[in-house]
Amino acid sequence: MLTCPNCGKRNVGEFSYKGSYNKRPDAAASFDKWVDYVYMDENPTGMNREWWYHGNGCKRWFIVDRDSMDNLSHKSQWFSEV
Amino acid sequence: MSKVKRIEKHDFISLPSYSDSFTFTFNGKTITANEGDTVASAMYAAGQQLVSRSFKYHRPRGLKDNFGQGPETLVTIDHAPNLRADTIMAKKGMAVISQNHVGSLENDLMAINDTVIRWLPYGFYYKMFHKPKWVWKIVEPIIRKAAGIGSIDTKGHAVDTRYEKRYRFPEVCVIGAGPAGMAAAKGALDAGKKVLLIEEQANIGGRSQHTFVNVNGCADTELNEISENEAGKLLMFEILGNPNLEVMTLTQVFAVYEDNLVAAYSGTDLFKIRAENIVIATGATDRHLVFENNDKPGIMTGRGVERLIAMHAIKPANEAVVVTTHNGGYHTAKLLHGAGTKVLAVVDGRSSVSNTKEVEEIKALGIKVIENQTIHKAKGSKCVTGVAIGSKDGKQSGESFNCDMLVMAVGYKTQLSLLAMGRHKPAWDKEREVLKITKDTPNMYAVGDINGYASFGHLYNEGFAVGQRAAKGEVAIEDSRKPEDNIMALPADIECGGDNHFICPCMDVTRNEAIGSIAEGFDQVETLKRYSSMGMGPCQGKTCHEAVARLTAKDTGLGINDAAPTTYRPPYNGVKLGLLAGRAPHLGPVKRTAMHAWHEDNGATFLNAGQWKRARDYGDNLQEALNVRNGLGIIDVSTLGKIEISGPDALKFIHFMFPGKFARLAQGKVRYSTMIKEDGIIFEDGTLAHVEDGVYYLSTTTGNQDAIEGLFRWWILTDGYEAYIRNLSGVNAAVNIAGEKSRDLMEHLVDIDMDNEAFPYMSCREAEIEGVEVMLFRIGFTGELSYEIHFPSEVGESMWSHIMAKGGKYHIKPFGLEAQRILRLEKGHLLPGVDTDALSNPFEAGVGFTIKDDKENFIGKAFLKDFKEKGIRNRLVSYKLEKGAQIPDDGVAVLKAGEIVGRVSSSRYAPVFGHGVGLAWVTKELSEAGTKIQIRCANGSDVAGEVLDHCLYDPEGIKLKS
Amino acid sequence: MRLRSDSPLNSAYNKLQGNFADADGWNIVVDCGQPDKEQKQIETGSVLADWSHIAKVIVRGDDADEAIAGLNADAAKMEIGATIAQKESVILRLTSDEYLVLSLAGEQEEILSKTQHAKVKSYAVGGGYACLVLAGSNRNEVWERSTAFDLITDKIGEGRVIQTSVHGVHCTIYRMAGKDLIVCNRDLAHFLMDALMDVGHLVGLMPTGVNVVPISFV
Repeated sequence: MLTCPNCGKRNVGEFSYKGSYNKRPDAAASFDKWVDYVYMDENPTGMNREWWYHGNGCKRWFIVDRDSMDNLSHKSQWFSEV
Repeated sequence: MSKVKRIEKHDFISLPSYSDSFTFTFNGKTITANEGDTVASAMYAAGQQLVSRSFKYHRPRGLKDNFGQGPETLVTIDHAPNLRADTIMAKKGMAVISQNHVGSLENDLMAINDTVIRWLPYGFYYKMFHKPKWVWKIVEPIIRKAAGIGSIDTKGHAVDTRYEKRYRFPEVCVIGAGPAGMAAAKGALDAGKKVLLIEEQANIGGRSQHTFVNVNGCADTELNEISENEAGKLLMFEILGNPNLEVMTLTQVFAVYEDNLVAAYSGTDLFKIRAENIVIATGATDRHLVFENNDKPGIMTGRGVERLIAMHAIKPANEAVVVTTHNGGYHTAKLLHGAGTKVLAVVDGRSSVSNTKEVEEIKALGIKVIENQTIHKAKGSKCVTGVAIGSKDGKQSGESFNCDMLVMAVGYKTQLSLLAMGRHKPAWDKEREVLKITKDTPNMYAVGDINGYASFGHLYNEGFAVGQRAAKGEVAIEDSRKPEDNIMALPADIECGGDNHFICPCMDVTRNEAIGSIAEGFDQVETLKRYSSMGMGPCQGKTCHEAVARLTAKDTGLGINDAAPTTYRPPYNGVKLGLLAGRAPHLGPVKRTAMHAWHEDNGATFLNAGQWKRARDYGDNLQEALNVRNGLGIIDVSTLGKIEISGPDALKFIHFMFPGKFARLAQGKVRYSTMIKEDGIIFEDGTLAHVEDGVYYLSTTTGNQDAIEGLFRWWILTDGYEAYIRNLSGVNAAVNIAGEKSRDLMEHLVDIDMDNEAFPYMSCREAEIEGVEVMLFRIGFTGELSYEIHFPSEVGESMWSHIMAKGGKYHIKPFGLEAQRILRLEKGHLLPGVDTDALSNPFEAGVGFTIKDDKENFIGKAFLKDFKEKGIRNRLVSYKLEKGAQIPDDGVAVLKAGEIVGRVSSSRYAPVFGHGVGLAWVTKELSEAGTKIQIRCANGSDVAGEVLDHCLYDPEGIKLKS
Repeated sequence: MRLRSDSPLNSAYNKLQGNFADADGWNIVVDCGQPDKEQKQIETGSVLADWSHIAKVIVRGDDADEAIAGLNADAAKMEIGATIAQKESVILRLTSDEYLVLSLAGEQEEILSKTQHAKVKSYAVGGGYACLVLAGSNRNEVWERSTAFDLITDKIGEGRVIQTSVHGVHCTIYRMAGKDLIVCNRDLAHFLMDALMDVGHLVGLMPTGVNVVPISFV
């Protein structure tokens, strides 16, 4: 289950995952930085900050700090709260 | 074969009475059953001891634990294979047949395996018959035919079965309704919670259904000094009276997933149960003992025998020997005696047996008690005819007995699957001599025999206390067991010699095979399991996991405390695929346009475009395409995505989201645009219309409006645009009227000036049709003069009918998606997702004109720059075929000198030309106009295409702009 | 005369022997041939009626609170998931910046004009949404076979609004006394109704129309 900051705890099937919360490089940054941004993801074991969308609920985007080891502990918040 | 029968009377207990009796068949033979019988108990009562043949060696097998854990009772019932006869309630008229034999069950021709396979090396199927290669071709079908148990019903008798998915949300879910489970339910109910109690058997009560020991020490004093059987019934009646309790019987929990999701099935219903707190009270089952011929019919477990007697009124055997290590075996022996079985001896593995009440009673009945010995060997061919006992280390022989039953009551192994799966590995508890899970899981509790055997009173107290804690989600209490409850464990294998010590009865894996495999290097329990296949059969280790853990530890030189079973995984038992699929014939939601009913009523054939049902054609797609070219056609394009963008930052937002420039897109004008992702790949195209001052209307081809809206909102959120989005995809329906007569028709529909100067190509206007405000767009896709009309979807049907009526004098005809595909191909237009994929760079796709990369910042800029610098390597080109040439399928390869140099992305016969046309990806070298390309059709023949540098139909676009 | 409006559920109700009549310019189902029986079914089972012709106004944006206050001052103060209802209309608070206002068709113009705001352009969704009403004392039997969201215990009570998926379709559900209003995208409405009737007809669900379940938001 995943907690939506608007709707509370819901089945994970109501959501879709966008990817890690990574900062988009400047338009003028080197191409290598862009390749890393588009294709490379740290994918750590343990806590990671991610973007999730409650498509089958309130249709809002939010941020989740999630422990990929056990999925049990996660903290959800709005983008404005980060 | 012994003649067993139903009994009317028992010396010590009252038997259940059955009012209803009926018949079913086993292998064509009529079997009489009582209400409450399982298929197995009825068969047993009728004297049918032989039930199946084992997997590899085709050894005779019969009822063993009477609980559904092992493979012995697998049968086919009414065409459904691999059902455990001891878990299925008998029903009138059932047709039960046995599995896995060639010829009859009694005389299985494949029983030869028992001799032949013994001579082959261990894991022979890995090692033999591969060299030379051709040998495998001959042997594989034979092995394949012999593999598997049961046959799939290819005639589809069960095809109309309806499977339902249902949900439950209890505050406390108790799994297992034995003494501890019932007490836990009571504890939670007492705390005011809503409780769901799930039981796999037909009735609740668990072991109390067949246990007659007096209860004492129970916190509910009313349950003391009566038999466990009575106490169980009283407790059951008490909780059943509570309106907050829901009970599900004949319901099998097959997994407990993350976040307390309990998955269970009951008949054809799948239950997904999200519980706040779960109490697992799945208990323990009789230990599996390994000795010579431990798999013969006639060898049963203590509780299995007790169930036959107390729940089905059956005398299990004429003469029996009971092997035990605790009071429980004496209880079983007493029940056997009372049912009329002659108990020849109780063989107790303890070195000295104290004279408890149970032991005294047995001795008083004149039954011999032999101390410090255990079973060595069972004798008989199709079933037990005798046993031999001896010392526990297997070295010294003792007496032999002629009997038709051997009862094993040598302790209980804990049923940890649901508690362990996906969570914790069990460890050997050396004090209790059982596998135990010591780690806690939040909001999950274990109670009952699963923590080690204990008396009813103790289980009640533990269960009630845990139920109270579970109700509040509090930390679990430390469970305890009295030393007198600990049951001594015999050696996992009695090493008395012989080749038939079956560790895994499912897969016919013997002790010798295990030792041999370890010697070959498979010395970890996980690799040993996979090499020997023990624990991989129908019971998935339920029978053998404890023995496998203990014997592997012993044989690999580890201490007993390091005994660890292989990993538990869901599902606990086999689950039908139909249950998981549920009711839906198609697996996802279906979208229909507002005009769907009209299409249905007018002969449309539909195809699935994503979730949409679209009219593919109305009977003749070629004619429909020609109608557009020669006259007037109308198509339902309501599936387009439609998003309105407005607000102070609307243009700024558009400049970032799209690769082009729109500052000079005047009000009333429309422009084609692509959509690019950050990796520079084209994923969508459509038109952007400047409909009102500062308000833009985006119309996207593939109609994936939910994803596009989500994407827009993400950018607005993260980059802080003051832009307002309205998703109008469902709000508006849309049609496209195409053909040289379309202006004539439009002039009949609307009042605004439709002249080419007043309303030129690539512009948009607002108008009114019969009181409804509509938006008009002049855009091209089919290559004819055409108008797209967007209007509120609630008037979809009436608008379409109105246009069809008005268009009658121009012979308007509807055209479907297939005709549209042909028309656009005649114009060389690409479709994202059809002619492009995840690697399609827009420059190569020929839509580089939509990219204005001198913008400071926009999605995809960095990668587009890189594509441009690297230059084009492939191109999407139009091509044509000769008249009469075969039309290739979409997706076939383009070859040059035997190498694949491209592929055809779209291909159709173009009726307006009389030959095929298409779009293909080819290397740059082949992309010059006039180049001949070799297209390999699906049937292996080749056609020659000629590359074009412009579309064939009206390349100047005169008709479009007229 | 404006072109006739049709509910996206009409073809589904057509197959269920629906009788239709005009309501506010919409062709809408009034009952399915047995109005008395359908009425009784509410007591022992459940019924599914079509209210798709009601007005639906979306008020969304950073200043949605200010915009909705133009319609009802208290609405801006209520928590997410709460609602304010009268017989003719209801204001549903979906998120901190989005309200959905449902009402009788005649109220739409007033609602739109009262909720206009510089930064919030409230708009009518009209035929973009379908509205089904599931009414009856036994409608839990339908819910437990239709969604993974808990609508069968009393966790979500009367006067609350939630958004979730039902048979895979995104729905906004407003709970009233004795009935639940289900708002979904019109493209998926026919599919959703088929799915609800498919699981429901085995547990006492009957189709019906607006004569048997007249529109009221309290």
